[in-house]
Amino acid sequence: MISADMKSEEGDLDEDAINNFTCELGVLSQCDGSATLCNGLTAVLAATFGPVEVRQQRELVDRSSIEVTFRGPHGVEGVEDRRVEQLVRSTLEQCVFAALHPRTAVSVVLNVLETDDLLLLSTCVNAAVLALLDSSLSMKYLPAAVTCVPVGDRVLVNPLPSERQGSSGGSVTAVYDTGSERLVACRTAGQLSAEQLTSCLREARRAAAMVRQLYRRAVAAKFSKEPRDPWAGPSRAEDMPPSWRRLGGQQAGEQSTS
Amino acid sequence: MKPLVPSTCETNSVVDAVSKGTRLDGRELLDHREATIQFGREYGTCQIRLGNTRALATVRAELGTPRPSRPNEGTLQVAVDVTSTAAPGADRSNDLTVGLERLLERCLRESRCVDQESLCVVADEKVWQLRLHVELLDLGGNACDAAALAALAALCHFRRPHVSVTGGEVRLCPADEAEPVPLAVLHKPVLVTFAFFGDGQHFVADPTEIEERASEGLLTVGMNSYREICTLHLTGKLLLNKQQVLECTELAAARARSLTSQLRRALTADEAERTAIHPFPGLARVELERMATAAASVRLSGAVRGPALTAEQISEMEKEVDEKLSVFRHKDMAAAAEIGQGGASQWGPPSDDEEGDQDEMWPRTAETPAKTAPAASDSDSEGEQTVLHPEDLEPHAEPGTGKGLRCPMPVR
Repeated sequence: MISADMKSEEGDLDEDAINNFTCELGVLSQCDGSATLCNGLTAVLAATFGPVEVRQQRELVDRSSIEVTFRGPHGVEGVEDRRVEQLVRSTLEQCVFAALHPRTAVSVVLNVLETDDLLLLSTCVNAAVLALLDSSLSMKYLPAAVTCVPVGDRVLVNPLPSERQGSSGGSVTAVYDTGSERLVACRTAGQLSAEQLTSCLREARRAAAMVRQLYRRAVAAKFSKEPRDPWAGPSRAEDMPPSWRRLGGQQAGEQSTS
Repeated sequence: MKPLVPSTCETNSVVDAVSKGTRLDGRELLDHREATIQFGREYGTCQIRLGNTRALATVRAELGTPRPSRPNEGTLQVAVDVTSTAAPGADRSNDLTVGLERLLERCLRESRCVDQESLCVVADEKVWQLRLHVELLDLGGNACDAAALAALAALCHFRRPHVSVTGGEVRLCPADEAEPVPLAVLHKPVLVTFAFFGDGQHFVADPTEIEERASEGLLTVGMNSYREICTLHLTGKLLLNKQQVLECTELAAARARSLTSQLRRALTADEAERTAIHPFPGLARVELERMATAAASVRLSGAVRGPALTAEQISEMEKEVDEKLSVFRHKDMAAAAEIGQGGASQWGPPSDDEEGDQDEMWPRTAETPAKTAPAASDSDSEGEQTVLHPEDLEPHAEPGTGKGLRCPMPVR
């Protein structure tokens, strides 16, 4: 049974868990907003155009129409892509201030750079939100997605593949409104008992606060006064996603990884 | 979204600047932008950044039947896609993608860059079919060069599974059993594009998107580091004479040489990193993952256990695990378990039973932690989990050289 008025539990948030995230805003030059988000072994590039002109079939008279396109890793195409698009679109439709831009479209494109399948859904949602933040589109609240896997009597949050040993294969991806801590969307996979589902949702709600920290840091970094060479990527090699490193070329002032 | 129409004053200012010998981004007329090469976790994934232009290439291979006209050769298929956010009005399939597909096929397939005969497994029955997919993520000008470099880098980086043929039966060996095999890349052709202005009088190298739109025509030269011309492609409303073409090919030769040496350095560095992440190729992958799990679960799940742990308890646990595992401190520890999945030893010259012509330009680096390999395999055979201490290890695997299991706060 999921209690209707769950409050935040006391306890320290594990700040270290947020260190599995790496993100960068404004990576693409031609679109309104873009972000790369890497969570563990999953890396997603999200880009957004909007509000822009919309095709007649998709036009809505009272609000903006949100279009999500998901490009999976090459060779993996089909119905699963549409499910990801549907989850991301329904999340964004609720959180974007669509009524401010009637008869327009906001289009979000998600490109998967790498994936380990489990964290894909939550990374896509978070990357889409970061891209919209980068494009400065008005939003009512910031949704944060977290994947939880119950292992034994514990719940692992955004686990890496090596940590998932011993799990029965069930997982929960939950999207929470980081402001009011209400559940926005939830998708489960595999077998879960009711208690496991409840505890996963509880842990996800706590972890969503960490993702909100990530958003704040990302936006603060974007508006920081550090000068950036527009031709370069992140100015420090440590900012690169762990499995994507800068190799070759001599960038001025580049520090190589130790 | 509709594509943006370039304004007349924009076009005129670009042409004017070029005729005076300057460019809008401050480069010299014949200066190229710096290319950045990044490889992904899986073999055959590569992302290239050329200024604002980004291309992502992936190579996949599967076994299939050969074409009837070439029963002894594998196949290479090229597909190019443009993300709709790469530029306003970019469509999934349009002139740009079709033109690029054809250009890449000419440059890579018809120039025999990959030895397709080495992709044959059983003549007439089974060959490797390579699928190269290039995704243009950002169009900042000169998508041609970026796409071609990405495709080439992905082909050089890619490893296909080892295949064993016994009698009539073909068996794919999993990565644990036999190391994946790189493709036989005979030469490395690179595309270099030039944009012409003022009736062919002036030209610039590596045009940006504004310069491409304002130009009268583009000349693309495909060259390898041996100064062999692999492709010549001229588009637009432009007539060139022999002198201009020769001049461009000279410049392209220099650029091709520098790009191929950059690519070679990048591939060597990537290989060295993969080996460094997994310093004990003889150690079973499961052992490594178990150790990684122990350390990582403390960091990531300490706070979400049933009873809340106090800060001291957590730091005590962390210290304990840190001491035992400080040798594995590397910022990519968790990913390490997925790379370099054990299998046959890499140390030493390639063995005779490896398929195909090995590309001798990429010898494996042979720095060997020879002393520790026997120790590791001993612990394996005993079936118990051994914790390795820093003092047991080679100097190159010093603790503190990596970044630890936690990524430093690297948000930009």
